[in-house]
Amino acid sequence: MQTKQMLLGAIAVCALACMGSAQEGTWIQQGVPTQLTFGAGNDVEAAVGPDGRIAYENDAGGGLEIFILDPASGNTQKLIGGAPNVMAAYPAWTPDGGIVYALSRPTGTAIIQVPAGGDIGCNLWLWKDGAHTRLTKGLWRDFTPSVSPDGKKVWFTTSRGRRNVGDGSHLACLDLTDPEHKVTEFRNIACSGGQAAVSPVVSPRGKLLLWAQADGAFSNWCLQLSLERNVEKGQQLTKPVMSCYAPRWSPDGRYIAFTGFRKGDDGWGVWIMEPRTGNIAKVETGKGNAKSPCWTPDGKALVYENNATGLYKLYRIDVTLNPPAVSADETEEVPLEPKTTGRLVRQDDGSYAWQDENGKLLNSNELRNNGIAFNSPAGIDFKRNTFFLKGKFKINSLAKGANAAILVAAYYPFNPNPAWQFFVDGNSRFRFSSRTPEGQYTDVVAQQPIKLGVEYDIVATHAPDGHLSMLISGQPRADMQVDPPAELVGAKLLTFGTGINGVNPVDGGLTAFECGVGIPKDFPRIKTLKELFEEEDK
Amino acid sequence: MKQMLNGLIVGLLACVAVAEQGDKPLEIMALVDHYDFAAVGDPQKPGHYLYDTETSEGCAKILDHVLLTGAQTVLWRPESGSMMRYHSKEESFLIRRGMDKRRMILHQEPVYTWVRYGESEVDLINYSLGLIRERGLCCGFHWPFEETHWAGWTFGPYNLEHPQYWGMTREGVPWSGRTSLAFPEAMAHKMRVADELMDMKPEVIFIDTWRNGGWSPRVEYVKPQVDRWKARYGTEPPPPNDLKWCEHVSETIHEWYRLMRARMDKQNPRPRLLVGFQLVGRGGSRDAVLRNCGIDWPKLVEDKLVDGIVVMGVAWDRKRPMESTREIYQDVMDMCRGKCQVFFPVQAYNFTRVGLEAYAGATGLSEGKVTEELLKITREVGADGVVLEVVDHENYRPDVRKALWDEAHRK
Repeated sequence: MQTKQMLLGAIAVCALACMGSAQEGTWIQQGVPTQLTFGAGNDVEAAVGPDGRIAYENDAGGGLEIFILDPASGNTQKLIGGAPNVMAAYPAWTPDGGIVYALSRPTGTAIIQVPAGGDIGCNLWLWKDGAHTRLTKGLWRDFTPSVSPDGKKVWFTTSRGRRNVGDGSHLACLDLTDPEHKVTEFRNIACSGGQAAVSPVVSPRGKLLLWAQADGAFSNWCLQLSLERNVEKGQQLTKPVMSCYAPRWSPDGRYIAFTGFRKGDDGWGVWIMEPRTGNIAKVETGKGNAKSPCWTPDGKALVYENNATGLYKLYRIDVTLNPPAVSADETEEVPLEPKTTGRLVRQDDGSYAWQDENGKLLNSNELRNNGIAFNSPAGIDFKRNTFFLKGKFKINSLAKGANAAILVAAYYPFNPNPAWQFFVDGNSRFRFSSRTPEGQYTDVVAQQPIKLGVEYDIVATHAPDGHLSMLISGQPRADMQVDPPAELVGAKLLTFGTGINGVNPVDGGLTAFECGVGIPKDFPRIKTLKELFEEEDK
Repeated sequence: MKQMLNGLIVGLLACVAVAEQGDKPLEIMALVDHYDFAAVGDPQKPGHYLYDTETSEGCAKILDHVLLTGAQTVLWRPESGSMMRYHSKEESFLIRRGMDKRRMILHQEPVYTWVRYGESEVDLINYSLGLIRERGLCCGFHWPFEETHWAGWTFGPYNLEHPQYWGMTREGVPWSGRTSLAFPEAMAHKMRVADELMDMKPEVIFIDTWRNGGWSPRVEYVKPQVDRWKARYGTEPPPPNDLKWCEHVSETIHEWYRLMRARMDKQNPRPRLLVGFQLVGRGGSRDAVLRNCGIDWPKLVEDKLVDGIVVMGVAWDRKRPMESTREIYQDVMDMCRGKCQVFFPVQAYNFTRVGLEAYAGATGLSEGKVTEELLKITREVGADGVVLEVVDHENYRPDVRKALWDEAHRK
């Protein structure tokens, strides 16, 4: 490290410090940011090791290289990279001083490399004691690794198995103690098209798994939490009103640092959350984007990247945290008692009627293509409440080229299109769609195609917190975090077997159907945050 | 009597104008994206592919295929979302990091996710435009005005690095789908992209407002837009379906076209600026386009900011497919005649359910016959040409291509 560079850095740091003093009303007392890296290229994705050394990416050479900085001496050491086509990224330390990283070395054009089985995927490697060992291999992308506190597992994100344009990436775990480096995938996380889960990281006590998830290209990244030993649909720690990603636990497990942006911010910022209380505050880092924070081993400082100088460089800032003692969010919603408000009933003459919660029957009208419709049906005005749809269905055949076969669709005055529906798409996947208060279409997609001629049970819900959920017998549960449901009042039409005017007919369909408000008692419940932390404390 | 006479003269002149236009072959304008050819399998060699879309040879082969339609104008797509198909400086930061976690790193589909157009040996777009020119045809861009093509992996660096310019819902939820032109910085960014395109000397720039990544006035509740509303009306902005809000937003977009027009006017030779939208119905669907795409298209025409309107799909009546199509075409022509060029669709894509396949289903005619009918109506109403959205491998069938070819080569 040259003295002149350090001096310039110190001047820049002073400028930042003037803007970066602790704000009244926040619970973060912060020190003066210190610039740690200088020179050409962007320095990003820092990871602080057990001995305080910092691994990071640099792109000055055209590709991506990984360096290790010793903050005590200012010396840097190149770990890997150098050729323009080599992308070495996302370093993560093992407890014994090794580094797991993602490596991609694309060569040639895709149509030559793919059939030839070229090694062009992005896979995980381990650097330890000066040697580089390959951990995964395949034509997919494995990235954003982190190592569990006991050093036995690597949690990461993978695109393996996702074949449709629009499919996102999901979580996976590699067993470092297994000579074959066995990988377990968690396709139940971010399983619908357009969803993605990245940056999984295990809590210091080893019991909780934290990651960032985007539910569709138009949602915002949110932080999610689940048990590490039973990874299921996560509890949202942050809401889509803010974009949050790249979470890292503090060494004592009490706090989470992450990259965030919300309305009014000047760009990406470094944020800290106390997940047990929901307390959240921004670290003042001055001009430019500040991203990818990680904790020093003593938990007293953060290292992050900032581009105030025009290039991303690494900075360190001391933080002392004194969050309010009382939870910032004490109110817990009382779940709505589930109640069936309407059901499809078969009458003695074989025709179908719609029965409301008072037992009153409404006869159907025939639609084209064997559909039936109920005009102004009672029992589907769910207002703004959580609602559920439940039934049994069987599909006999799917018309070639059809992009939708509708099982049930409900129409309300606020939109000419169905406000909610069950349908099977052109890829034989079952979908539950619902609209938001602005009339936007949202849906959740089954992870696997349905089999023809097989009867399935189906339950789906849409809650005011924006949680769309669907469970089909024999398939993993599918979840999406979207906007709340529209205000469903004044129902105009309920169709079965087709949409309005007989469009998108289905061969087969629902053999039983009911709907109502609340979440059915037998629908698998997700652990609350309180329950998750109770598990952590055991 | 005098009025009647005047009307008669005007009518006769209009007929002559249409007749003159009718004698000329229609301009067949093909839209093409080389990415769409990336995974076309080779039927002779299973597991192999027909087009190497990362090479100049591959793009030449694609052009050969596109020209089977007889197209005299070929508009190449320079980007999808904000992932550039050419060697862009404006969108180059970290562009090579196909593994950026914020892009969601979608799927592992062979070929599609592994192409690297930003690193090709030659700039494929510049090369392809040159090739089109060499063949004596009209070259240009089909520019989707978007920062994501409905999928996270198509976000570009500018969008990812500037959340402060993202869209915003009325409820204050940031929307990353596109940065807002209400921010001067975002407008300047888009203009720098336009400059990069114009550096390649296109003869046409066609801005596709339909491909907008889901943007609409719904996500324009950003500070500059809201402040402008409050200053003007002294109230909080209304809901997004309020036409007045959409008109308010469209003023910003209108300003973008004004800047674009001014920039293009400086270019020598001056390229044509076209703007396109989908699902036009009777009367030209000004309000629907305003709500969906945030542009007041008749105003763009009246202010002479565009050289042409591209109707990419029409909301024809299934009970009277061709008659209703003619009525819609006529309405659009009534709004545009003498002011700008007009192009109507011959659409192989059927995602809007109004393309060739839908016409064939509703009329019982073959797609080739449907094409002949659409060309005939297009000629008869006095339009300038047709747009082919989008020419992929064999999606315009031989009988459709023949009808188009015959029109392009009509004496």
